[in-house]
Amino acid sequence: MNWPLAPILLPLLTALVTLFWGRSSLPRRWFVAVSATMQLVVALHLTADTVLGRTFVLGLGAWPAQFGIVLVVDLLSAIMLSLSALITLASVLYGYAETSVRLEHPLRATLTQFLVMGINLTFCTGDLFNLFVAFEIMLIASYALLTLEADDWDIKHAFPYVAINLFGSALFISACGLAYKLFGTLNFAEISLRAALLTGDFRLHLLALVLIVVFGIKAGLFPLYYWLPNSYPTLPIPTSALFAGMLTKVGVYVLLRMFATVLPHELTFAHTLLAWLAGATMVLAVMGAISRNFIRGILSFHILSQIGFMVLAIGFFTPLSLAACVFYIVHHIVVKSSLFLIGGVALRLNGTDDLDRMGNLWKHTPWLGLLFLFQALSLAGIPPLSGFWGKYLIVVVGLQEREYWLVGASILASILTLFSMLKIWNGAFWTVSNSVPLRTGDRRWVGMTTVVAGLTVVSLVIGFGAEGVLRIAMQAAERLCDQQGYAREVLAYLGKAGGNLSP
Amino acid sequence: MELHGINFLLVLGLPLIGSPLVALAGRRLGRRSGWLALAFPLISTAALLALAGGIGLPTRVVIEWPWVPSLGLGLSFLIDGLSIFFGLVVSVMGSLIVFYAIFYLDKDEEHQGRFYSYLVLFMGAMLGTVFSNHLVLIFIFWELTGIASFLLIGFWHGEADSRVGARQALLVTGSTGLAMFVGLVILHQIFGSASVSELLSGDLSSGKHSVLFTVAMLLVLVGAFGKSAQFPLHFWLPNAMAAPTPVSAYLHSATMVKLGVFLVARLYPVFVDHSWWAPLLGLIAFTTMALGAVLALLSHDLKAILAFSTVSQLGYLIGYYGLGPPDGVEHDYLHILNHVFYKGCLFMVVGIVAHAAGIRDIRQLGGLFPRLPLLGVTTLVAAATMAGIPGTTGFLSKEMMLKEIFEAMRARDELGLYATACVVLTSVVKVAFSVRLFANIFLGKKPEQVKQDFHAPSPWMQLPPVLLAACALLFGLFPGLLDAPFGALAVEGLNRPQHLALWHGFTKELLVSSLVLALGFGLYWLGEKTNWRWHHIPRWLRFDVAFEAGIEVFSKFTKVVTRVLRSDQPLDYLPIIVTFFVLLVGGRLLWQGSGLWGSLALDWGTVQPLRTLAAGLIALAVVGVLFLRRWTAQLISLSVAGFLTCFYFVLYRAPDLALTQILVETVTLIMVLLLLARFPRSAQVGEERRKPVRFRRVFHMLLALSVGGVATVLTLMVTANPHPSPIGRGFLEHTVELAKGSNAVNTILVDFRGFDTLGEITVLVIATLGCLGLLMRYKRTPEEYQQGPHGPPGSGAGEEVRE
Repeated sequence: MNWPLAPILLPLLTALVTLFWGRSSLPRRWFVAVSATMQLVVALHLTADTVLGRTFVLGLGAWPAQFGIVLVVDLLSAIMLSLSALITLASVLYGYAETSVRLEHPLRATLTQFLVMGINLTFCTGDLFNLFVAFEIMLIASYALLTLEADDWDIKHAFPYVAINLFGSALFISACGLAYKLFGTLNFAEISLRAALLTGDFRLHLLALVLIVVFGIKAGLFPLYYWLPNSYPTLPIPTSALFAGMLTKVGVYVLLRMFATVLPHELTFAHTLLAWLAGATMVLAVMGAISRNFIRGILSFHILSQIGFMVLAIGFFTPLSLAACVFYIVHHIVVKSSLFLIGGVALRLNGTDDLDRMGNLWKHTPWLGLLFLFQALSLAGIPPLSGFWGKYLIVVVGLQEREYWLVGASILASILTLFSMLKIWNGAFWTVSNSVPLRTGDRRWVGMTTVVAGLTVVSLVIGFGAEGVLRIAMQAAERLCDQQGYAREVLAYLGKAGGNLSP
Repeated sequence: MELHGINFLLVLGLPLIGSPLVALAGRRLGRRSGWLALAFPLISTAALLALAGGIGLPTRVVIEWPWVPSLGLGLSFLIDGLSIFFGLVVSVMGSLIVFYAIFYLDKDEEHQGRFYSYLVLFMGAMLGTVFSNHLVLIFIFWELTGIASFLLIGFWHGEADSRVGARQALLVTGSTGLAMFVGLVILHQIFGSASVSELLSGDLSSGKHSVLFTVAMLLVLVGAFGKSAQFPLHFWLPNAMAAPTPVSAYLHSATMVKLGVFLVARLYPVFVDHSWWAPLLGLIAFTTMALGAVLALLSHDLKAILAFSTVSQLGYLIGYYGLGPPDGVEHDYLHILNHVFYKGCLFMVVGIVAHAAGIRDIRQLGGLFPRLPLLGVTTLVAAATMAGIPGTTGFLSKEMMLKEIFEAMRARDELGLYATACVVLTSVVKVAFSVRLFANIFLGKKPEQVKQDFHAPSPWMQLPPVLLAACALLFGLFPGLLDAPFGALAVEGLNRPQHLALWHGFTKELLVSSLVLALGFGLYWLGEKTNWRWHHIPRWLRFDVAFEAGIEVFSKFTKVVTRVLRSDQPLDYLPIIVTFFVLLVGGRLLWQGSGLWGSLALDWGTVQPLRTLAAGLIALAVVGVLFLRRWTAQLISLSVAGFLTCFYFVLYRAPDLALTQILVETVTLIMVLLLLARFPRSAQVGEERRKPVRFRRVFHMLLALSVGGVATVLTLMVTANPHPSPIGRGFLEHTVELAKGSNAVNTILVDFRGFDTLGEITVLVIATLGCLGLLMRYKRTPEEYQQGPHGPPGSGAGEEVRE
């Protein structure tokens, strides 16, 4: 029954051990890789269990759910844990392939594991304040990673990142205070029961708006996304893949959790607001992507544009659209991370990722091109790759809900996504130029490409085996919306004190 | 059923699986990979014939395998006359093209495996599209054909033309495909079924009156027009000719561009009685037809002539469906087949000529007949077919078209008149450029350059065009041969097969035909007379140039948008975000309006002087931050606010919290002061220093005030009427009993919510490590720093320097 703690404890312990291990060495690398694999195994185990209908509830300190902090792992949490473990593993292995032991920054592994701890805690926690703590762990680790290996010229991009996220944190802690006064508790399950009685209360609507701003910053909604597009390109490639894959999706996950599980479903104003912000995000961010001329810059803006699709699905707020959101998250995390990694390989081969100075890749490294083609087309939503299914469901729901403008925006964003992917393809892969170096002599790119190939296989399986993923997503969405069931499962945890304690 | 399934897997599954195999084998096989690839279309053709024989046409058979049942999407395929007809066109042409390509591609051409792999993939995608029985499945394969076409057009991707052409093709067909997709989804929602066979056989009258149905039709047609290069989206097709010639012959004349025609035919029974169907298709398609023909006459590049004439012919086909009567059209298969014969043939001929002479400009060619007699005859037949001279399928096609147009003229007034004018004009122009195509390549004097560069092509390469021309001639002379297959392939609701005959007597059509021929030759003579001086495509008709310019402008526009959104102005990020928060939450508060004040917990009686004093001092300290200029003073003022907060804790009888706060404030102040004081001056060098702007200061001040105001109002609102049973009370009551400690704050921190504390300690550890990381960073020397960034963010000194 203590399994929910494992995804948090494992990275924490790994981080501490690597911290005291000191310098990077081959055994230390093995240790981290084994730990990352273990985390993946644990997460998959949790998913396998939760997919059968089980929900793990663990009260820390064995206090009853209302009293203490509970960790709750339901299907959605387990899926997110698996994805986070998968991407971490890929990022770690890619980092090994990219950097020799001698040059590896000793703190990168430690801080990455701390970051993973924060991310995993976000997925597991069933308590609003604990969520804040999880965000703090995640954010401070991300600040540290952002500045760890940055160049003097680039480090200034970390400043807006830190400043905006600090504002978000301040807002979040205020929201926690408001929520506590309003509901008298911070436990998700308890809040959902108490909030159901406050449905008509204006204050609830205001709280929802504040939370939209808080988590909108984290997820990267327009006009709150400014911290992202210029800061991600300054990260080392493996770290940027992890950031690109997980960090904004944490925001989407929390939005899902808040609006589907915790807050009442009648907050239509908030849902509509989310949908329109999402529509603006996907169009404006993809325009930002087109305005950039280097691979990581384009990809960074694309993260935001894709966030628009996920949040749009939340905004539609039907069972099918929530399933679409879950599907989209699963697809997006894998595809986005692998695109950053592919960009990294291209950067390594050409010595730059400025599209004007790239080329020759399709001619000499067709496998890399093939991987990019699969993932880029998937990102653009070309069927039957993984990106198509989420978009398909979103279009279906949008048409059912008669949100024609938003459907139009999503189609427009897809076309522009395709356009910007073609820009990368034509610039980096198809251009043939003698003045562009191609450093295939440096064999590191083979190992790096192998790691990406692994991720691409996962994403192809998601695309072609859409049925399986879709069923899981539908089940996850269904359980996500089942507030009564969630509260029942969680509040049934009575801990050591038994049933004789009530606040 | 089992047998059909296996047969069908051979038809469709094998090419899809085979494509990557060809690519893999291509590394080893090199030039010989073509022979491997040839197996796939041949097997598909054979299996398709077996399938057609097996199901006993004209029955309709659905083969289905489950795929995504949750969405009602299966691998469902509809085998009927239409799909078998198109399937055969695709696979037979595929065989001819692969055979042709084996001799067409140079020996030293790189990556032949990839080329054949794309071709086989494309064939699989085409077969998938025409056989799909599910609307979404149609879209899936439809986009796949677009991707395969993209890769094929860009096969010679070293050339900028290829890249631009490929991108244009994919953008136009891909985005119109998405429009079509939305249309198909709407159709699904209106009729509750996405199965084509159910749509064709079911009763649809209930859903046909809604506006949505019209929208769906328009969107589906956008997709069809994009793929079939209809005006004003026709421009991508000529640019797609950057592809190797076998690709142009296969994709961009015989098969892929006919997908739009196919879609129109497939959904013909669903849409035909819509009142917009005929005018829409008629106007656009016949305009395309006439425009394409004129542009073909104005072009000089051999492939461009053929490309524009393909555009024209596609308009002809779609327009034909547009004017068709509700119970079905008569000769659509004839028109399509006719086009496949002569256009496939001509493309291959042009490829051979360009190959042999090394020239593609028709003005520089001539006199090749003695060198290439067989090809000359072939071209003569194909050009005659294109021109519609009696004895070829082209003549039949034109006769039948004229006949139907004359009928339509009676039924549809202006539209019929417009169509007739377009058809006659097109026919005349077509005759002219057909004659030109033959005469200016094969007759006349041979230019010097041709004499020098000419080398004889392989005779095998000439086989496929000869076969196609022979078919055009054979069926043109004995049209009765076509009756039986067309009869068998007829689909209910779409086709009403009629007997075909060469001679119809002295009819109006014959008269017009002869007139057209005479005029066409006259036009050609005029062109020769004037040496084709007036021949160039006017700039306002260069839609492709406009499209590329549009892309340029759009790219600039995105830069403007990004600039307007202040994406690269870090100092504006936070103000934007804060403004959004204030507008959203504050706006919502004001929206609520009058009832607001009542809901706040404003009880002036409970105001305590001491607390008010503390609060006032805090406010004063914060205002100090706004007005002080030096950063040291600002920092101290800010921490005064922090220290005063301790006072507040004391008033609430929480000395331990106050103590903590004092410690935190002290340590923070000292650390920040130390750090900032030691901030290296070198980092400021080269940075632009921003002048403080008064407006900005005032704006920030207002912003800060409004955030404070909103936060205050929110706090007052929730404290006015807090939840009656907060969990905190439970902690207070049970702390001794449960946690054996009388200080509830302590028991919460270390016991009830000890996990939070663990997390916060972790935060402190990470923060320390982050600072350590900052100290460990590679620092540029001042000289390096002066050089500025080396490129986009992240490509600074980084690894190269460390290595």
